[in-house]
Amino acid sequence: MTTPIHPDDDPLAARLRAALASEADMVHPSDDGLSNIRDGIAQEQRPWWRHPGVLAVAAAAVIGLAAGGLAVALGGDDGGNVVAGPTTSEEPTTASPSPSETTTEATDPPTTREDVFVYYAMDDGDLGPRLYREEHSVVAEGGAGQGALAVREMLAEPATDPDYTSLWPSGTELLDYSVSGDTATVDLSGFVQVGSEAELAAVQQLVYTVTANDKPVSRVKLLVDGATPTSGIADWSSPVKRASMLDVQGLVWLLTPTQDATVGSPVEITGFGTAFEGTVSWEVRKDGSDTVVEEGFAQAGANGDFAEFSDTVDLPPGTYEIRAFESSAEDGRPLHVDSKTFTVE
Amino acid sequence: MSSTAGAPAWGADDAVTHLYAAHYRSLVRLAALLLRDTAAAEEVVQDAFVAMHAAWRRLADPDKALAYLRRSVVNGSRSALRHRSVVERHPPVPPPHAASAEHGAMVALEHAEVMAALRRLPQRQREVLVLRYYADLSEAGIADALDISRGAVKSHASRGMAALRESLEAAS
Repeated sequence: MTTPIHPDDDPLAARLRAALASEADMVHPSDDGLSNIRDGIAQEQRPWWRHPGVLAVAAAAVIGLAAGGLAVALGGDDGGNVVAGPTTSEEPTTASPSPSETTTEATDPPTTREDVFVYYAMDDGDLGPRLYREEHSVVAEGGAGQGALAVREMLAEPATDPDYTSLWPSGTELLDYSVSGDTATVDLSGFVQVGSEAELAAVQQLVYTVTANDKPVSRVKLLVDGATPTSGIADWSSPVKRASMLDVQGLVWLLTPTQDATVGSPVEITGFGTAFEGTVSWEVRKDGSDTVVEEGFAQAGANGDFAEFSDTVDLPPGTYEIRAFESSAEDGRPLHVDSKTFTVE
Repeated sequence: MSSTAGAPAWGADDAVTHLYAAHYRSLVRLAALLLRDTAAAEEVVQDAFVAMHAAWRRLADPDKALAYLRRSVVNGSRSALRHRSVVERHPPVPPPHAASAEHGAMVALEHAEVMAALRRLPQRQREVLVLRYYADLSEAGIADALDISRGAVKSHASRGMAALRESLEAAS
């Protein structure tokens, strides 16, 4: 195999390219691939409910049934070599199938999307790690529920906002997810460094994520590799509820504009939080500049209550950073800052 | 060659035969890089071809079919990874490969080190880097294969490379 020249590659990219090529060269597919595929296509003639769950497979089988009349007419049967030979080659392009047009739409690639809420953490500066929420669109597969999809997303995907991070070690995987009554049992492949502040926050990150997506669930039973994890500071043998928002959640969340969003002007600023006298401040800077070009206040919750806040700002086209925060009642310095970078068209 | 220009009006079976000849091996290798398991990789790719056969009526174009195959392979690899049992998550380091004799074991060691670092990355970053540096896909091609935005491709790629660099520097 000839490796093309990639003048833009830095040394690391070149190392990666070489390692991947060498690893790939070690893979030698067996010779029965094509016959397995033809068997698989023949199997598609079976009723769709006999296939394992995936949506795409079911959709493909509907097509299989639609085309089935022709295949049977050509002498195919469940075990027969229906697809071999050129005789069927005109079938898809020229034959106008008698069944309904819905068959033409049923073949989209195997992706259905669901919106889920995922919690990440950010160091507040004053209060330690706090939870922040993002809405992610995820691929729904294999009939997994919202809760499981959200946990997978939390473990596998970085936050959109680069200031946020998951407290779970990268590579942690969801092994099992089940719900009974108000309790979800979540089995993960790894756990955080125990005995730390991060341990409590990580478990709350998981509990908030699960309970935000799986409505009947209010408690999470945590398992690591099938067993209750040992801990330096807590007992995880009983299901865990959400801790109070005031104790674990970021006190000021900026919800819109979202990170890296492109928006029109006037820009809708929305968020959720709590602040002294309910007053949340916001400032807009040109991206990369320290000069504030617009600022204002919005009314959030007060006295430990959380509430939504909103405001609008007119901005000429450009890329900006917005920060929302509580101004310290003592010295006016910004507390509990959340920030987003966005572009105005 | 299965080029688009002047492609004959293939039927679904012809499409399978031609695309199999042209791309089966590289797709299996792609899946194997994501899965570290050749048998599972073959299964994923075979399933993708079966689905492509069913979708051919709508695709009706070799390039679209190849893009469809890639998407299916990435999705199928993900599902396979999720269903893999706990014990298999840390398979042993593969033996140095035969072709490395004249380069010495150092090359194999270097590759193993890079691959190990790659495997420590979050799934999405790993996928982006494999599609970019093994499959040589463009940003748009990667975005299509993973069904994410081009901006997300950029950010996964840069985060992945940064993490890889850090991991390899820490190891050396």
